[in-house]
Amino acid sequence: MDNLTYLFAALAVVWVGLYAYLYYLGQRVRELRRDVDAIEQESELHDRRTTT
Amino acid sequence: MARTTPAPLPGAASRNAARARQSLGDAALQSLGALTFILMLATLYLALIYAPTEAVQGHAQRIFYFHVPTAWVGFLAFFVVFVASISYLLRGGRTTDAIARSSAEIGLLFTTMMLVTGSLWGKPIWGTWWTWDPKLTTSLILWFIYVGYLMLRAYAPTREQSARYGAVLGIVGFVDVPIVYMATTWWRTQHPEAVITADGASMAPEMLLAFLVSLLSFTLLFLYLLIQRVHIQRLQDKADDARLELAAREVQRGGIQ
Repeated sequence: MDNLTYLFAALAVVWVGLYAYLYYLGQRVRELRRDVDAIEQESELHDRRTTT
Repeated sequence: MARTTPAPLPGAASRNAARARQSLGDAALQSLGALTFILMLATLYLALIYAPTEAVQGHAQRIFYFHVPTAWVGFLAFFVVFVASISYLLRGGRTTDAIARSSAEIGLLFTTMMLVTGSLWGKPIWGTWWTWDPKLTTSLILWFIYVGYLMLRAYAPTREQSARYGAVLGIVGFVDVPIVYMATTWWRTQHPEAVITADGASMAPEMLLAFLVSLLSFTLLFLYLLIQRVHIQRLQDKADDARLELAAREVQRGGIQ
């Protein structure tokens, strides 16, 4: 490998690592927002059942 | 059984206000993300095209513009863990705990990048991927400390224990950061010494500009990632609390019937 190859390998490590982490964070946010909304809806249903 | 008209939900107004605040926060976060992305692109241009090629190391020296900022962000992240951990032990609070945990995860990501880019720089310059040099060895120990921290956080039996034990390790573990930084001064090592000291910078002005822009962009990136990660941690806590509350109400309702 010449020096340029090492440079691009290092760049790839940084950019791929960052992209993968950002993707992981985005997925976690979407999953958790869905979870929280589902729990809130379930809670509202529970409230309605107890008031009827 | 006659159905009654459902009453307006008491929490609906506050939920709408919270959603409005959230969308405002999302817009600010998106702006920070866009600024960081532009600066990261500028860093690529400055590091790969604008900065001159170093006479001895050639293109491999350009790894410096990514290796040092990743190390800096790692240290900064562990400093945030240290401060948030002290704050948690003194005053408690879920937000400080969320900041500590989130910052440790980001710090570990950047320390991993620092170790890998350092290895990729070492091979063409030193002729080896790894050497048990004091700077490298203390950096690897730092990496293991924060792997241990995240494992402790994940496997502690309760959330309170996870936060308390994590805070203690977050304070004790930080001791290694100044040791890593001072390793080139305290011991004879292959690793180059700091290029920016109180006496000035030992590099060409174009190189210095590329380096400073890179430091700024990586610091903003850290801030952006930390805000995102803390937000996730708080959502996680909120979901856990809501689940527990719902389960308790179900049990209560079952008891009444």
